[in-house]
Amino acid sequence: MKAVEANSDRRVVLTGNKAAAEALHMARIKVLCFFPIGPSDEVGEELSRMIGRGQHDASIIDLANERSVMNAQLVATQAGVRCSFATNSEGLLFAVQQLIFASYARVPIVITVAHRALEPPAVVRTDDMDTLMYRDIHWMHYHCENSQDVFDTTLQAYHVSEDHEVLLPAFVTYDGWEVSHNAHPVELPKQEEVDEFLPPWQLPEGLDFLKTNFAEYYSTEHRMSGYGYVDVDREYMERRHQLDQALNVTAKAKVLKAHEKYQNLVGRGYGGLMEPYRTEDAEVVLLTMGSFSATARLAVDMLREEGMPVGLMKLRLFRPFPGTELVEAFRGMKVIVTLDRNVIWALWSELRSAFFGQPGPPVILGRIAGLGGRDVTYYDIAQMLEEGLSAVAGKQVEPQRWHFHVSKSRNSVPLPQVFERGWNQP
Amino acid sequence: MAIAELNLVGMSGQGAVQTGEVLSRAVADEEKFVSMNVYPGTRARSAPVIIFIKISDKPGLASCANYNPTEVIVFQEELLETVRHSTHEVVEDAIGLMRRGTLVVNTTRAPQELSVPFDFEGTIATVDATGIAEKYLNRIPPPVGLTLLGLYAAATGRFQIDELKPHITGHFPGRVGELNAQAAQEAFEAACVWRGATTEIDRTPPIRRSVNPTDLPEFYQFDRYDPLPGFTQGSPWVWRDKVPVCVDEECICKGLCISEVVCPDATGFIVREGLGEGVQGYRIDVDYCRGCGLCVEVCVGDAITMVPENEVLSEKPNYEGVTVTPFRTREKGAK
Repeated sequence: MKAVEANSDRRVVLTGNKAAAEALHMARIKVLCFFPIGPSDEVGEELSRMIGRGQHDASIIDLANERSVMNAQLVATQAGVRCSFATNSEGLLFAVQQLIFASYARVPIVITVAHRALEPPAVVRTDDMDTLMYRDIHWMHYHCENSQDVFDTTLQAYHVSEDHEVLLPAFVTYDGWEVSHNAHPVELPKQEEVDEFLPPWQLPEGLDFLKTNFAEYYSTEHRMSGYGYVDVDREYMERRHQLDQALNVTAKAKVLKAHEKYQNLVGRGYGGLMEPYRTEDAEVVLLTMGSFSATARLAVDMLREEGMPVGLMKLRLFRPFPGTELVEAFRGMKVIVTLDRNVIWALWSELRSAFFGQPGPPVILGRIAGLGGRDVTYYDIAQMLEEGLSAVAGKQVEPQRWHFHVSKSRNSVPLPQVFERGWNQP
Repeated sequence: MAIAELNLVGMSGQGAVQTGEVLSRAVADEEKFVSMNVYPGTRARSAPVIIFIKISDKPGLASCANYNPTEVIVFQEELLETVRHSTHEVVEDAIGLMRRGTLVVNTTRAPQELSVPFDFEGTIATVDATGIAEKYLNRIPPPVGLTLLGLYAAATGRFQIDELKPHITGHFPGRVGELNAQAAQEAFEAACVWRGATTEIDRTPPIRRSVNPTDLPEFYQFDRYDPLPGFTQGSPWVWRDKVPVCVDEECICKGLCISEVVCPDATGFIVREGLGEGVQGYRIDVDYCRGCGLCVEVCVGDAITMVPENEVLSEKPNYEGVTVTPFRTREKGAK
């Protein structure tokens, strides 16, 4: 029972959704905006269970649909209250107008998204398309690998978004089922540490909507000044530019700072914008994000045991995209393999844009796999890395390829010994 | 880096996900790293649900499925058949890729009587978990998952039953947890464990008969998918043992039970003729009914009850060829 009891031993086993709920609980959200949609419904359910048991103090707002719920979240945040909302796929489609409003109006909301493929057909399982289709509306996109990552990233997302120099909404996303229902041990920090890292959300000066002089607020002058109201070409372009700068310059720096601060407090870190794994002296590096990274680590280990110079770069943030940082990190490497779980070649195209015009760029191979939750094994990823190695050797390799096959074994090399032995047969 | 792979193979509604979480907690208690991955099936009750668990001494476990399982818990004996008949690829892999280790099966039979559909070497453990779960927990389908954990503890000795029970009661506070813990205890005591078991499959090629759709009566010429042991292999829903029966006089709503949001396979159809004025009833097409019991849960007027299949079906349907509609409601007025 020692792992289950709260506050005694802080190492517990949580699914991705429950880790998100735990993070929101420790972030002391005051309003739970709730409209259930699988697979992210468990976040709201777990939080409302906590509220019902009296562990957590918050009001629940459950309205008719995601769009209304997200409006409630926007309004509550503008009133200076930290709140949460978890949705995915069709829910986000329903609230798309609010998504665009949120970034332009600089409302720092955080939405927890457990990815699910978009319908039709009614695919229950995961791919990235539901948030990646919003890559150009100035939201921050975090991609998490496991429950621990979800927990830490949720706290960091609030920290960065609510910074008065950033004030941007953020998606904290993780793969549906593969992370959202994947139970992992999670080390929880103490509540005091979280409180120190994440003080209550303070509205910036002059933005307190509750103390607004409404005569002035609804005056033509104010309404023409932007923030979601009518703008007759006075400030729109300037504000869009501010937004772009806030995302691509300020937020990037703030993410690194927040990560460093969190690491100092809790003693656990992921490398800020991206996390390299065995990339030193690597010739071929796989660039991916989300739950693929966990599988890819095993593949890299497998190939490294055979003496192949391969590595992994896990991207934590898709927006702001750390292009210059990646170019710097990949300097001297020969082949980069990008592994996407979407149909828009998101990583491939972004990385190629970042390398455009750079001297001596590497060969960039694009791979799409795992759409609709199709399994991607370490044998699959090993195969992609081996393709990169043969490209290093000068062989012809397809630059872009959809990887459909699920490899269940690796015939080219014998299985590592670990897989030959059962865990009850030492 | 030693990774152990454990699969739980069940049908949705039998508690596979909750079992996986309890098991993960129990394993994590031993300072191991554990990763539990859910294959959710098709979001319908009685669709297969598979839990892939990986256990290691190191963090950072893959989130893919298991392809070298050494321990498998099968929630329903009939699921073993999927391996023999190659009817559901994911289930087939989750069970059929196993060659040695520990196989834990919910069945009324002894381990020696079990027909294992692959060459296997190791420990086979069985118990009648459905019976035990039904005894303690009155729910359809019987949630056998936590009961099977008692058997698992007896078969592997990975953790003691006394270590397991606090995790069950911690996961389900209150009476539900206690009843589940009692069921697990009983399964632990009633466990039949065959250590050093060796089985070989019968390598004679199976005779496969298939149904020509044009041979079927018009009623059955729908385009239906057949995800589990099929048409040709006994009952289409091997998991079912009870079917719903509707008493027409009690039926007051407009068919919530057979609406597509309730019935996983939309097996019902409306009957209006011959039932008197203003009375309507519903019939269940038992060829496709999985026996999940959702229609009973939503029935407004107490019209539907679950009745054991052999009591209500006039004759066993002949699945090998043409099927008759073998329903028969109770006589009018009978309760």
